[in-house]
Amino acid sequence: MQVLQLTVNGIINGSSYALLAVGFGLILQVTGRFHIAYTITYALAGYTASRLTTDYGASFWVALIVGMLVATVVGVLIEAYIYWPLGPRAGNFALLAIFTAALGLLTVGQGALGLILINSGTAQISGFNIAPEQIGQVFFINLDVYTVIISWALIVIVALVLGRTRLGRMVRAVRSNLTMSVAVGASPRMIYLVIFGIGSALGGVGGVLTSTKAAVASDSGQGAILYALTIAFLAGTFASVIRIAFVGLGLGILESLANLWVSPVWDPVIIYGLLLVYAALKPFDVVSKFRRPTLRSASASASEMAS
Amino acid sequence: MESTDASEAAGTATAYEGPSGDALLAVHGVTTGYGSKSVVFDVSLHVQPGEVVGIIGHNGAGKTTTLRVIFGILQAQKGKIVYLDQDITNRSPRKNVQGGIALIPSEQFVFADMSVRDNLLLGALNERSSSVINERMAEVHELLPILKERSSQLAGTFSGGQQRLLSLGTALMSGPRLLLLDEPSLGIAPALVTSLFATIKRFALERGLSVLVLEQNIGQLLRIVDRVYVMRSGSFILEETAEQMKKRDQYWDLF
Repeated sequence: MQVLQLTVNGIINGSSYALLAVGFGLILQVTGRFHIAYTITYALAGYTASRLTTDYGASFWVALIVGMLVATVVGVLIEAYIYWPLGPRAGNFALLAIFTAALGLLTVGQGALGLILINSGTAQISGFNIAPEQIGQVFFINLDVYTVIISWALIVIVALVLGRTRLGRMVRAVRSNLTMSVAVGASPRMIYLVIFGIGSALGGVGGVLTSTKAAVASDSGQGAILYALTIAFLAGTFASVIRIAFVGLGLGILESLANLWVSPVWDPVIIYGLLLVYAALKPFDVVSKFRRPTLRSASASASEMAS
Repeated sequence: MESTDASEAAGTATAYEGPSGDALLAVHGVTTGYGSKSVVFDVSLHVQPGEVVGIIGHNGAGKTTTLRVIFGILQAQKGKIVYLDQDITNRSPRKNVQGGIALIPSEQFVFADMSVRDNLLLGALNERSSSVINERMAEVHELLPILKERSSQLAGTFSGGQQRLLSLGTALMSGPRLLLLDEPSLGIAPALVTSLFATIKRFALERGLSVLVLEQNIGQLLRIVDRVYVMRSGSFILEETAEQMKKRDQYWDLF
């Protein structure tokens, strides 16, 4: 019975990981940006939703949508006004410059959110009645059910958009070969913005769902984003959305089942240990994410393109 | 275009001075480069409907840069580019593709991790009508049967020559009137270059396609082009018909 309970816990956590990993992984795969400031959009969505529900009496669902939109807009603005213009200016060091900018954004954002939280007090989303549920001897809460359903619904929608639409073909073109994507008439800049929008929206939903369970903190999502990063790497450079999602789910289940033998405090060691083993066994897969020619030339071409 | 010491030194051929008034593409005094640095200076050229025009020059002469500014990847710092009587200077690549200009780069010219069919479909990215896409696909399959036979094969598993044919098919899927080709013989076995160039020439003749091709393999180039521009250090130093250039005993002094 303990195995069943832990498996269900793993599916719940794994679904959240899958959602964030798809968002973070898409950004990493398509743009090559190591966008660790993803944490900020995640926390900001949670904070926005908490203020809306506590100060303005908005319903949980309205707060969820607004939180997602805020994350989307912030993600797009970061790409449009910080990362993209930085590329051509940094030349061959574009990736390092963008990573440094992301690190700076993360630090400044967390500091600012910390100050806001000190002044405004605890931020937690209200308006959602968390209730215990039970199926046989397996326990969970109603929010867990919503988390699993919402996460997988969004993952499937993103997979369908990328797999079956013209936009999806453009995204695959830009991800596969930036030079040729321009030659066939795709606009890398537009695709980058769209991907940042989609990725940030998924992170925003994750941030709101998590903030419904626990109060928003300035470093909310930091651990979750590192898990997302691990999953994105484990899934592979050109993994599909569904594959990334299932690797996330699998990692959640593995992490949970590991508690049969080790204390939960060892969970991060297990997860990052997997990343370490992966990096040691397949170093070129890790390095290739930072050496793709598309990564450097993407931003460099910004100033060259007329659009 | 002025005749320079290169043309004088190169032989007796008279520089070509044909019509440019009804040109499909006309480049007028374009200067371009990277950032604030100019690498191509005051370049003018024209391509007539159905004409195959070549640009030759040494490595770093500015051939690719010229192609990139025509296609809109680079901004023109000075000058004007006219296509179908429209000023397209600094127009985006996307709009140029929509307007009937197709580019095949010298390297990375296929989507290696995608199937042949997906590559061809990406060529028609800006075409919304599925019936038009199907028509073009059928036409490309007829012209290049190997792309039909190996429709589901990953492009990255093709040989260099096959990838070149696929890149031609991908370009044709956009329904171009002007094809810009950057060193199509690069990385291809010499035996295949002849048939590749014959295919390009056949496309131009059968489809009334205009082609602007950059190449260092002058011998092969002269088999398919009508005219040639010679580029050195960012400027055109000579323009001749293919027939004029074929009369030369040697070409090394052009570089």
